[in-house]
Amino acid sequence: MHDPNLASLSSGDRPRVLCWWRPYRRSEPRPPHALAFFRTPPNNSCFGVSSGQAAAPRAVNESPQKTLVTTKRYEIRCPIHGFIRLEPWEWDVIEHPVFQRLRRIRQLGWTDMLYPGAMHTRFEHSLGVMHTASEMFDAVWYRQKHVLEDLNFSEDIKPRDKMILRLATLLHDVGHSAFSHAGEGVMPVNPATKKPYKHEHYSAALIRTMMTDVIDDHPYHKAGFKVTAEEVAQFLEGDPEIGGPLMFWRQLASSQLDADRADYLLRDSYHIGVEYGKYDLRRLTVSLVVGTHETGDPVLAINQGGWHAAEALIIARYMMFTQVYLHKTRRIFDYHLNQVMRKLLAEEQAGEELFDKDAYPPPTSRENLEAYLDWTDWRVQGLLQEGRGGDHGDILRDRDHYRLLYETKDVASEQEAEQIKKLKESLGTIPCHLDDGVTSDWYKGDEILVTTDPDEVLRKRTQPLSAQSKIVDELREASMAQIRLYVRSADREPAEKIKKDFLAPKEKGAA
Amino acid sequence: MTTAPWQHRYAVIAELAKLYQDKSSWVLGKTALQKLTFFLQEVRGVELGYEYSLYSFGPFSSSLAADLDMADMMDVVDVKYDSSINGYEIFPGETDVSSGKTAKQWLKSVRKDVEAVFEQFGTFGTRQLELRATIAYVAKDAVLRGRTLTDDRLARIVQDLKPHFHYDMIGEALRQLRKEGFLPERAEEKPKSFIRRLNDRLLRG
Repeated sequence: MHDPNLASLSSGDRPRVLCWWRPYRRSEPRPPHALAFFRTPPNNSCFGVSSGQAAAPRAVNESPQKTLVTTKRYEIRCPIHGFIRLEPWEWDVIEHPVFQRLRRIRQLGWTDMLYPGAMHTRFEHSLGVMHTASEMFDAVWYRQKHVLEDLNFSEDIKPRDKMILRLATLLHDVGHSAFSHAGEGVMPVNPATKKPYKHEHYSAALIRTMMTDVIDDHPYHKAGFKVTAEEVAQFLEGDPEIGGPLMFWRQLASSQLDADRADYLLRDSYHIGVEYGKYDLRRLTVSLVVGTHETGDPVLAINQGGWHAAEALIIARYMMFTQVYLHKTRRIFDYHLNQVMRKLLAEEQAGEELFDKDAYPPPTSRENLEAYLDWTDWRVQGLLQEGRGGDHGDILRDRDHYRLLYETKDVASEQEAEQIKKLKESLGTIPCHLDDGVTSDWYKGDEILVTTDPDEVLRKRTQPLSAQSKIVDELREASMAQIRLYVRSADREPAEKIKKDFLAPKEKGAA
Repeated sequence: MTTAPWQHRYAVIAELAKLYQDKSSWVLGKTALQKLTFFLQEVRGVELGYEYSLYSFGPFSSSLAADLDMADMMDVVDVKYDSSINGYEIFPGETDVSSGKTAKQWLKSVRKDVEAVFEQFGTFGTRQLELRATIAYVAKDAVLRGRTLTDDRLARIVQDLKPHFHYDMIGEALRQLRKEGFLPERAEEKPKSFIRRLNDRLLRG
């Protein structure tokens, strides 16, 4: 439960680190928000903030450019990127309860059941994505100023574009549910599209609905570029109304070359303790240029000399997917979590007016969003600690997960798909799970484009990386669409016998 | 209509490659495949399960890109890089994924839509397809967001995204799409000032 005393604290008294603080409810008084650059900055923090000189309060009519020079900066230590620099107004966004909640959402769900080091959170990843996107943005402007100006990306709009990019990449994951992607199986269906909502929809809705106080109403933005939460949400959604320049920069938030995957490969590798996800991010960053897509549109591309760095990025993705993300044991824990979540949501939302009581509330109202924010890893683990979650709760507590009984080849043929479904039917009442979501994702997306001309004066023609790199071309075809069948560990023996009998006639026939 | 299973999606890719091979002087490319499939799903309503996002180079589905790689690997289609045109070409492959009973029935049920999309857009080059797909995306996105866009506003949004297209060219493509029923109905029909102005411009040459 929310501590009512917290809400009555003044901004000066309120503890700086809000990691235990549950998001407020509509009925509760809104806690005053910290506006860091009006106060003395903290001189210590649990996440490694360096201390520094206190800034003098700034008059709201000062230009933002001047503020950037004169006010206190913050730096957060990051295991991947070193120190991540923050502007004071970004500090306020980070301190917002919606962002602080990411401390309670693990990046890789229950992957620690397989790789014990996988305990990192969306909080540090989000900071890393903002930092990486910012570095990439600066690198493109540094090397391609003339090309960008030729496209009417003026220096005047550069700081504003960068500000929107930094905010959007910082906040891109605030809509994650408990245990990140692992828990997305219980998202409600959007009646307009007939598809389940994704965390991106929640991120955009949360930014619009609950973060206007630290964006629209922030004195920095009011006095300066007047960036709005709506614009940040539109940028993340790819709303056509954001216009050409921001649509171009959006590639740093969502594309094969985006800062998201650039960060998570390195971060996940680091925490898990594997080397697979490593590649040369610095080389990749300085290799980014503006190329020409075959449609004639400007597109983020890799300079001719840097294509090996892009090749290494794809190899890293391939390795991380095959060795970590699609690992059979990691995948089955996603299933157990979703079963637990269905039960917990149904129980906890029994009295609510929701269409799907065993799914998260849809991101269609402030009330729903507040209820959604209440779901974090901590809350689920607390309920599990109390013995809740049914049979699958026991499985998570005891790490007694379902075991793999049978899997098709990496790419299941239609016959194999039919066969494994029949094997499932022949198991009768033995509880089992058929996982048909083991699909290749390492080169899922637009092709990385490489410039064909080393000259940097003009916007250059491009060709796909897979046309340049034999390795990437081979990996493109090394796809996966596997189907796996799991059974309870207790039923493994009888299930193996049924499987043997099921496959036997075909083996004899083949002989 | 339920979402097509993944094998059925490969069948659609193969069907488009065959149509290009049999009935067109063009060869199906990756960008054209993205745009045609966009029209097939988002305009003709054949639910393939793809989600399209708007990029600087138009609507794009990463799942479709992955499906194409998979279809290539399974020899449902043959994807070849042609250095002379600096792009990939998609040809029909040896494997027939529509031979299964369910796939055959499903493909039969959507063949008319696939052919209609091919008839309408199969003769366009990449840039023109890209322009039309972007117009259709912006129009549909506005409907989903509950926005009312006049054709003039719609054309200006597209021009802002794609300044290398002249306003008149965007207007002409928009008018053609609307005439052929490839744009969603407008929530609130505005006076046809845009079309009138467009016609005036065309008459003035």
